[in-house]
Amino acid sequence: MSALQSYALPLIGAVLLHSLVAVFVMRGFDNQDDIADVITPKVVNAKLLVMEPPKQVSPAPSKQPAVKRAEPSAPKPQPAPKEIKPEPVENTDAAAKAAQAERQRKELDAQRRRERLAALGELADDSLQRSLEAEAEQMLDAQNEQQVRTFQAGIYDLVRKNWSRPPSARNGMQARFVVELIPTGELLSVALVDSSGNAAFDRSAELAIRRAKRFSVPEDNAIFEANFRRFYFLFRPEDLLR
Amino acid sequence: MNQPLSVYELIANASLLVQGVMALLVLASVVSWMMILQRWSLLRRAKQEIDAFEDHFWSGIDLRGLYQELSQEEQLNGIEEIFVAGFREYTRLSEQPGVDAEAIMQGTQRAMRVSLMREEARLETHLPFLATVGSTSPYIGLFGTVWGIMNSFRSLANMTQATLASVAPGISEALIATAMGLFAAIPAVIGYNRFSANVDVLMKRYEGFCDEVAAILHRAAHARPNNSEGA
Repeated sequence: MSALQSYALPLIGAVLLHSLVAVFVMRGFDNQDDIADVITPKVVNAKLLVMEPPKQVSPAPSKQPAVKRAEPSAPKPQPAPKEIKPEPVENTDAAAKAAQAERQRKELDAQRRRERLAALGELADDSLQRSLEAEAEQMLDAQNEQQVRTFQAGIYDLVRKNWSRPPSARNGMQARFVVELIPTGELLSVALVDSSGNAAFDRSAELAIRRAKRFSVPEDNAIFEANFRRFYFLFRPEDLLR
Repeated sequence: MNQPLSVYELIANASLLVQGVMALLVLASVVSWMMILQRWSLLRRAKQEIDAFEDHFWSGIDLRGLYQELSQEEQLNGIEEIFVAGFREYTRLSEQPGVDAEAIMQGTQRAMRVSLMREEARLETHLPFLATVGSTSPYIGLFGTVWGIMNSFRSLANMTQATLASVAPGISEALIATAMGLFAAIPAVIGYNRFSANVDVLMKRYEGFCDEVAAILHRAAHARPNNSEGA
């Protein structure tokens, strides 16, 4: 009995210690996550600084409008984020246009309120909105760029796999093709732009593209149109020893 | 996609075998900590007892009086047990006629040695368990990690476009097993080394005490036959 009793307290202690460690570990990871989350907007903030000069210039001439702005801005922030948000989510031209139209409408609505504001205050408002838009666009651009790079890597891999170089290929040769795709990723046309000077090399490269037939392309139409509708493909046997 | 992984998710998404390894390691860690805490309090108490008893013993108290005082107590701690066993054997043998001093001393020392051994066994219980946890749990954790990484690479083989993002969660998840193994092993190894050193120190003190008691009783035993022969 006493032997069992002598183990009860250590057991409670051990379990307590482990649950403490478990909680600490979970918390510790969460805290790190918080830090990571904070860093992301910091990067955007740093980019925003580039856009800031006009904003800083406008309130500089007189401090009074800036202070005034602070009071009427209380109802304003609600519409402002609403305009920005749809852009990163839909990121199509249509959405951007719609957002712009909406913004214009909002501006008309706000005209009466703006009349009460000083012209400088108006300027500050504009620059704030512009910098917010720029921030959203930059975030979107970064996302898109990554997507584009992923798909480019996929296309590159596919073509390289299909490419069997002729024995006459030499270092320094390069052939450039212009490739056209349709939005499903299927090949529309291949045309030689710059020849390598070696017909066998050119032919093998063209065949490599034709063999691939279908490439995986982003579903987003805007990204496709911008990057994959028509692009150049450069063949260069750099890894040959001779 | 940008959402960071939480430890809980990593553990919940791990394969069954890795989860089993993790559960085993958590259990080993809990049990070894239990042993560590229990050993710690036991060894500390044993040290306090030997300090207190030696003070009492060398305070000039009559040994027979000490023996009678102790034999009335219900629970004897380690060092008291050794003294009582030795002294009991000594009085029993010396009360028998025709037993010479050497035989009395041999019997007394044997009795003390027996309770010394028993005490050593009591102090050393569970230490082998700590040693086992300390030496094997890193391997168990490593096994879980290797298994997890193996699986995450195998699933990578089925992908056409391998990205770091597709392997990283699997590896991160697998590495938790190694972390747990080390978490279980380090305190167990430290505990084992510390406690076995403590037990060694205590045993040296017990042995020294045994020899001191034997020397006192030896003197008494050799004084007795002369008296009995003379009487």
